[in-house]
Amino acid sequence: MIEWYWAMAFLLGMVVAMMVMGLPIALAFLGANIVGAWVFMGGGNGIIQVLSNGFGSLSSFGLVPIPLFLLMGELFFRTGLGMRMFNAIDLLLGKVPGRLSYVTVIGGTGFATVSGSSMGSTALLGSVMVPEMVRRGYKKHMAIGPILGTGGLAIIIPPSALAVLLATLAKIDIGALLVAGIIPGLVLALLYIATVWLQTRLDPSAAPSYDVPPVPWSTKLKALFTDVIPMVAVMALIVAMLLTGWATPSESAAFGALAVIVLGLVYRCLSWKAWLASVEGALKVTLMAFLIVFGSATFSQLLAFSGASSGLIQWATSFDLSPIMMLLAIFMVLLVLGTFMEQISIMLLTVPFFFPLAQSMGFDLIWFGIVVLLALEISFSTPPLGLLLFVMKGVAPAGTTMREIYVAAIPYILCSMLLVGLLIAFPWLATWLPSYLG
Amino acid sequence: MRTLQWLYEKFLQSMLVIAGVALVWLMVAVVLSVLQRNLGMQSWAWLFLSTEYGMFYLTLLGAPWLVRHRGHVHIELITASLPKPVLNGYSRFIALLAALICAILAFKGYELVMMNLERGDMDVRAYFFPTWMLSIAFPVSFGLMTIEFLRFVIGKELLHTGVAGVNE
Repeated sequence: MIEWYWAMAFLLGMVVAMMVMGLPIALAFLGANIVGAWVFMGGGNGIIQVLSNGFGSLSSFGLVPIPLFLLMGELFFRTGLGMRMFNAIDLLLGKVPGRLSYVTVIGGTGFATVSGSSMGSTALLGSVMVPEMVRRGYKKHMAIGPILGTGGLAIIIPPSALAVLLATLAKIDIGALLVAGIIPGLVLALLYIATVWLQTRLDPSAAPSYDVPPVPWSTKLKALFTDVIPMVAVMALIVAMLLTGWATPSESAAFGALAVIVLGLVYRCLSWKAWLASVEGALKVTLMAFLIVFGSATFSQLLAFSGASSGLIQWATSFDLSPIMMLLAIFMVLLVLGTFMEQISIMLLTVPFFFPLAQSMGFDLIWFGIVVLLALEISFSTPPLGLLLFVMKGVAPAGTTMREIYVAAIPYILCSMLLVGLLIAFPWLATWLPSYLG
Repeated sequence: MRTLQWLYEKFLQSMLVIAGVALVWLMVAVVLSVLQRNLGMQSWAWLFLSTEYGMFYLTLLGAPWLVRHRGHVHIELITASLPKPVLNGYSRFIALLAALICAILAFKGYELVMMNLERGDMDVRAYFFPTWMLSIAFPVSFGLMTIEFLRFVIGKELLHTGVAGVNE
């Protein structure tokens, strides 16, 4: 039996090397599984085991919310329901200095939340809001920053497909993790609003105010009741179903998707074209994620089988680090990985190590799950390689430099860091709501 | 040859359609089972089972189509720094490596199907389901993925765009 650190270096090194070489991530995991199974699980039969394990990990009812949350988000995009909500919030805010930045934070949060896809909402808001704000004389950072921030919020506020995946991989309660993200998510949205306020106070020319035609209260109320409340109610429905214990996460996701279909029919915006595009969009992300999950069962099994998981955990705990130092170390590893890897791969690589480690340190695993999601969210927009930064570069007006995008992202990354600090100081922010789960 | 290509395209498309239907079925099956439960009826066990198998089938049947559309997320770190002529060769080499991985899994999948048939294996959940009807998806899916990756080895298009970042 080889030493655990050699086994770990061999397995992790292989996956990371193949990823960096440019192999599709799912194939990198499967390739490492083939070699690893050959070495640690008895040659050719080990590879057959890779396939059997893959079947076991995919045919799990716990994964059902992922495609359904994605379908729900795609339907929100393609039917235009998301944009309706966004425009209504714009109307409701009226004439406030830095109004469009607030609209982006509030509307973007709602939008990212109901859409469940930070990449999709970043792409859409980036292409719609940034040109409009630049035209109104806003500096680019006032437009780009809030979009990057709110895009990342989708990861922690339910319905979050990534939270479901994390809970499934870490074998923790999916419903509890979804619900635990609500308060931290709202706190983060408030921190973003405070950031915009501070930025407009420090540099009023960054977001010049401009006249908007006065809108009567009756129009505002109508917009609130027809275009905001029904959309937010879908999210509330999911959360209520989870909190009351009336439905499992899979069931609430199915009803969430059904509710969006009903809304689409009521508002007469669910065309056949929008429906097909939504199913295709949801399918694309589901397939991509699930094929990576396919390789995950064997990979974590290989880590356990070769002694790498237990070896690393014993080694890490032998330092007698305080829990807070251990948490910071874990957080740093996640941030570093996030600068060159996407989130699902980071989860698959680190969950087999970090969750047992967190358990041995006495952390509440639901709380720890939220911290991990936040770390992933931060890494999503961390220069130089955060995925959202590139999405933004792709949709921002021509001439926008990567440097401008980096500068815009930094205050929002700091907000997320502050939230992690708050979660450490006040863990109940994440643990209070799950304690009410029915 | 053209007929063969036409048939191949239709086969790939039909697998995508099945994957799409399976995804929508997840929602329908779950909603139906909840409604039955709330009407005081016993939910049909096969509804639950169909969602579990549905996720397996949709992943494997849709995966080859995603390869064609470069939908499997990959990191462009090295590929972004390569000059075009080098990228051309390198990207084809990576696609060949991906094809090789898929070919191994397709072959081992075929062995698994044969083993399941010989032993008469059953997947035992709410019902007894012949395992080969599930494992047959392995040689089919990974076989088609091998072909799709090989298209990036010998075809006009490259797997990598050469633009830095994580591509999805």
